[in-house]
Amino acid sequence: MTALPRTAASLPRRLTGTLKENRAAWAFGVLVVTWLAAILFAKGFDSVSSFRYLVQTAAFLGIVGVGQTLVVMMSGIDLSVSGVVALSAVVCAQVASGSGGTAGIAVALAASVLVGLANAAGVTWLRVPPMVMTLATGTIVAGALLVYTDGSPKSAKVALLGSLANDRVLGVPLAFVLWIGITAVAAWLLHASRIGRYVFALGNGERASRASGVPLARTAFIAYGTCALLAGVSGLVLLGFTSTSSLTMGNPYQLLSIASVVLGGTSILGGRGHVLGTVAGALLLTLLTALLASWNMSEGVRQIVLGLLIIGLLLAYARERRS
Amino acid sequence: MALLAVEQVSKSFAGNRVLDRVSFDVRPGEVLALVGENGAGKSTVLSLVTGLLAPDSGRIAYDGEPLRSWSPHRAREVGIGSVHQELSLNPHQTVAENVFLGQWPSRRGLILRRDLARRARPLLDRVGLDVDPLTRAGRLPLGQQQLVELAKALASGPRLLILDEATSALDDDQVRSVFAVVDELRAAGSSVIIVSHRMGELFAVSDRLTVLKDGEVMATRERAETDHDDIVRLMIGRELSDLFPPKAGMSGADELAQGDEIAAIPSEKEIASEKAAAEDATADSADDAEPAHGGGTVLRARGLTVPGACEGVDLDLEAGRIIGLGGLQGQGQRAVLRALFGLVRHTGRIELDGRPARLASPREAIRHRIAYVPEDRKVEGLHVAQTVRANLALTNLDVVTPGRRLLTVDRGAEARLVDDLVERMRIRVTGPEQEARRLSGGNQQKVALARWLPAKPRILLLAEPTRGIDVGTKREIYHLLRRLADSGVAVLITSGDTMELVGLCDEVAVMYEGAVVDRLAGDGLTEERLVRASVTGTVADD
Repeated sequence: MTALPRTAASLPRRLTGTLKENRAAWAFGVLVVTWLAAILFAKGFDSVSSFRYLVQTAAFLGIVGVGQTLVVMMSGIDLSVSGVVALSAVVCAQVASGSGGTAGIAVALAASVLVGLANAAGVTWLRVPPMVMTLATGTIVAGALLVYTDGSPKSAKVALLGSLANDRVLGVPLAFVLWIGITAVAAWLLHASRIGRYVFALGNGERASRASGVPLARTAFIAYGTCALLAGVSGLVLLGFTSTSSLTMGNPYQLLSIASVVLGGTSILGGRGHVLGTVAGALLLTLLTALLASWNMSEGVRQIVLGLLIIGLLLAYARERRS
Repeated sequence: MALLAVEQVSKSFAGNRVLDRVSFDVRPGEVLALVGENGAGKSTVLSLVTGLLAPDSGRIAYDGEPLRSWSPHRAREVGIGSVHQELSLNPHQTVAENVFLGQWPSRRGLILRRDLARRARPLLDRVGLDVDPLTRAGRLPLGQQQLVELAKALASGPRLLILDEATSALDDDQVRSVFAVVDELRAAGSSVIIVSHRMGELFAVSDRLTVLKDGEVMATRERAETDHDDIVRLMIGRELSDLFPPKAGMSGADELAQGDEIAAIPSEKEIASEKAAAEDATADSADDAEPAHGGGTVLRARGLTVPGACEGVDLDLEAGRIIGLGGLQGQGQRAVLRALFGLVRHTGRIELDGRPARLASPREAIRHRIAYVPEDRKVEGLHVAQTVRANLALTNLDVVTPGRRLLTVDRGAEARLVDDLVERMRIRVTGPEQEARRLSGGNQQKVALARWLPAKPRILLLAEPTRGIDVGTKREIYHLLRRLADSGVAVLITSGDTMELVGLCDEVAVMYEGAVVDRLAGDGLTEERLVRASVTGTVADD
């Protein structure tokens, strides 16, 4: 009548069950297979430098993806990340050229977080659907940048950002190290901390969460705030990487960050998944983009193929199950 | 010849045998009741008949033909209609559109709404529903929606109607309408399979009763040759006349008197574990609780008003007492509970321990150690897609997180908490990682209740605590609530089950159109008076 003790006998079944259920693991599997295929069948993927370059450039997307994971996990979505990536880079470049790099970084990150807090406020207090709210703030940010820069954002060399984006420690790109560090903290936040429990609970049902005493507002502010902060960080690393800022530099990250979350096995409906999966998702998407580029496809065809690949991969392992 | 014959059917899920060589049949013009506790296999066997699942072995024949390439669609085609406890209406479409879902009359691709409404009318009349067929279904109260479901099932002229807990959300009048339909079908030579936890209903309407227990058919009895006790004995394997625990202040001699009535005594082991559970619960809640009886008023509500739901409700919750909110369905009982848990906006004065308190959100209510077990346990009471562990831990993060706020959840402490609750509440799970939606209704309810216990609530609010739950679990929950009350918790429940209110509660406030119209306690608390006050909305004086 009472609970069965967790016996050793049921362990193998639980293990296979876990593996079948664990779509984050699937994401890594697909990543490894794709990578091996790229090494075997495409040119230029078999060198250490190409590997290094891939993980370095994947970091820009990956850092945004980590933040997006937090938001998606609580049944939200953040479409303003593209605006925030640009915001952070443009503001940093602008401020840095006047008041120095450190001030630039600080102002840029503060501005980014502010957007995230606005998102959270709109979603929790005004009860605007996340998709609408974040799309609107993203649009506002893009417009504000245009006004702020008069259409011509500045270039800036900030030493700290330059080394963050391009330097290596023991041969490993610093950007990648930063990404993994951020992922580790996010993994703790999402999968081991109390806040993470709230995020998962919210993702599995708001009404039950409310009736269980989950602090809805606090959780939303932390998730959207962190997501915007990380988009800001990514913008800064991108600025360091290219030494220039542009108004459209964040554009690819809007949909790719969401794709990396979903390809990483996190349910787009929230409440299910693992932030580590998003690492695989971001690497996979970066790898696919590079692969397509190596085949000398035109930009248009590349986008078409990438879109089809995302759909195909989703169907292969990340489809929502019917309840 | 039988209309439906289920022969030696077995079904397993993930190695778990839920049906074991089940056989029964339904004859034309017959009403068969399928009886059993939650998890006995009733739903599974019905899913086989309606084509939602396929049997592992055995045979099901309909109209003499074995079922082949069976699906819900095929089942409907050959005249099997079903109504379930869970609604399948589209809330945004009109009643008429719902009734004829998938078979709307149209001309050149345009739906004829008027025609639809006209054709829905007689069906709605048949189920005793006096609503405009053009009303949106979602605007109707739950009970009426259930009747729309029935009208929808009747629309295709079923030869076999399955009523699976279809009456659980209905009040007595509505139940009578359903039974009128059942009688009508029987007279016309159609057959009905009915599943309900309300024994009285089953005896009122069925011709034969088939009892399932743990996936096996225990017996099939003619109604005339059996009685409640017989069926309950078959269901749970023993007699159950101690369904309700003794009330507050009825200890000692009273308890002895009650003890005499216990016909079949539970096994030694069961008594021991029950005792242990009782002691656990008592010891646990007694740590910092007030003395058991005469603990005084914990919560005093004056003029509690929720716009559109209840008005000017006065309520005193006392430590050690179980108060019930009775009345017909939807008279504002639910709003009172939701207001006291901070889930809906309300006005009026609320005092906790004599001090004014504001209950503006569930978090504030929880801070005052108020706990709430909602009636809608799948949407509000639990995160059904999450594990039993996650559900039990969510309300107890203070306990399993040594620090505050952001800090790391202690997996060890969590596992201990979960194991302890699962064992103490005797929740039937395969393990802490089982998803809550895989549990039976009774076990889900246990989880929904258990998750509040570690926080030692002083006030426990429960809406329909035993709706759709088997009688064995009902009894466990009744006894648990009484033990909690005895340890100093103030309990407030709403219930549509008159017997439950009378059997369990120390006092019942009867609500009618949002106001308390009568309060019954002691010897004045009888089913008769309760029903009279509920129906008339006036004080039931003799």
